[in-house]
Amino acid sequence: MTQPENTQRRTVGIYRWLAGGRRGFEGYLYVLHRISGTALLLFLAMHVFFTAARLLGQETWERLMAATQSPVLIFLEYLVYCAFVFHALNGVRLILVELGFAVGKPDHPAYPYRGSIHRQRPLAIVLMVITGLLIALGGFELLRFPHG
Amino acid sequence: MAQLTFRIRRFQPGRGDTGWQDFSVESSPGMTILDGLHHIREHQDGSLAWRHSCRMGVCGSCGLIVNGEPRLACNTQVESLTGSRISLEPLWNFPVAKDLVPDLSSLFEKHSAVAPYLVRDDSEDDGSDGRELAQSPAELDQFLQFTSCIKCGVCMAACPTLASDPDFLGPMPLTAAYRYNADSRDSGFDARKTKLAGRHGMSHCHYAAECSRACPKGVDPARAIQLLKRDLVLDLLGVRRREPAPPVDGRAPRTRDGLQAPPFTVPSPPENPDE
Amino acid sequence: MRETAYWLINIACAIVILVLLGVHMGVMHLDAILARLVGTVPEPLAWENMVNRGKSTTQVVLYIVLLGTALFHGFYGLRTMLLEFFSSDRAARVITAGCVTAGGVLFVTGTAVTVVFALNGAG
Repeated sequence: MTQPENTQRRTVGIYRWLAGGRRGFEGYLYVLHRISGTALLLFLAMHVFFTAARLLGQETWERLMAATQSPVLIFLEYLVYCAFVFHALNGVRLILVELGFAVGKPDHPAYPYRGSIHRQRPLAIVLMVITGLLIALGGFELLRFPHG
Repeated sequence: MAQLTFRIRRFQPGRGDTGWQDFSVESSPGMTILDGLHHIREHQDGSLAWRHSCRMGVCGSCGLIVNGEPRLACNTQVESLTGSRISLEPLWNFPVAKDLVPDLSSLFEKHSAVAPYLVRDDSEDDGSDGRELAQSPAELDQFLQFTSCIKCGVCMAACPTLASDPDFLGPMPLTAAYRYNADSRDSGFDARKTKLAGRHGMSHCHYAAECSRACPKGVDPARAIQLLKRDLVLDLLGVRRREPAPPVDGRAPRTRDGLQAPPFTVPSPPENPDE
Repeated sequence: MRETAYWLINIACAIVILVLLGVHMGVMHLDAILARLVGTVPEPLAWENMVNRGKSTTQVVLYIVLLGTALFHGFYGLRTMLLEFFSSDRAARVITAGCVTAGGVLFVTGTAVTVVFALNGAG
């Protein structure tokens, strides 16, 4: 897109994803989905290399696994779990919505406007409540009873 | 009457962003943002620039950012906003010409890029033979909602994808494309497909639904885009059900006896009655 | 329509990941909850159990499927975000090539480790 003469290009970018705290519910889910996805990809890359330590024998493996029982790493493991639960359940909604199943049929545009947002909102709320429950449950298990 | 502060982001051609400027305006019942702007220009600062035409939510000229949300200035009553300070900025995701005037050229360029008109193989049937393209009410309902778009650019300012990718087609052009794809008289799906499924097309929409939340006309662009995606996927899988646009001759002609409507002529003025 | 195809594969991967990673998470990280539901479960991180898993053909196949789908899904998502920030055609080619390379390296590494371990055990 060419910039017309005598106009001022405004800064765009990542901070506008948040729109100064004025996004709607789905807008924040969109931002969280991106953040959790990036975090999970980073974790996956690390995970592939760290689990390769099993090729180095039992002793190395057990030393590495003992190291993962430190409070910091347990908390990070919990964050990965949270990211996964959120990304998975929000992803279920996104698959349904983006394939056109949860957005409803085209409506007559008459007041009060109730469009696709209202149509898929109950699904979003139910899935986020389940996410909250699973995160709480996982927190209980992962943080309070560290295994090993 | 409460005293309001209009906090306006000023942009001057050549000088760029000159920061926020406060104006004090007395509120009155039924007063809109647009009324406030008129008041400021008439009584306080004649150099303040914004764009408007109809004052009643039809023309789509006066989109701007009110307290961090894209809206129409004429459609927003100051009493519906909380607090006495109202911040106004030009629409996001567009370059600024002056003060609250965004340059919407990119919107119209993207709009015309998706062929927002009926595309037909029998292109000579342009209505000049006096026949019409008939359509059932059920067929009309497939896209009626998306015809209400007034091209105000509010959805484009709300879109988080456009915030990071200025080349993304955006909610309004994608909705316009779906409006014609879903039209029973149209057969331009394949012509639009390359653009819609391209690198700046539908795959960058992730249903943040900000466009639908912001739309002042209830067009629901987010719904149109998801339905568009479904069509593109069904098309890719080769299972998109699509009857070809009915030929003009396949439907009833306009007049009852199959006659052509008489050509429209401008009636000549009556002779001078005095003579 | 290449982008539509990528997007559709991405969704298909998401469904596979949802199932496989759900099981993986349940077994590896929530073993305490699992133990409550089904009695005792083997400690997932213990050496012998890890060796048993790594030698089972089903496990090895599922590991590789999960790795492949997760990498496609992850790098497709990363590419989508990066393409928004760098939208020129040249940048797009670099980003796509980078994502394919990084995903390929991780897939080959993970698969090689899994297969070598299944065949030879620890070196």
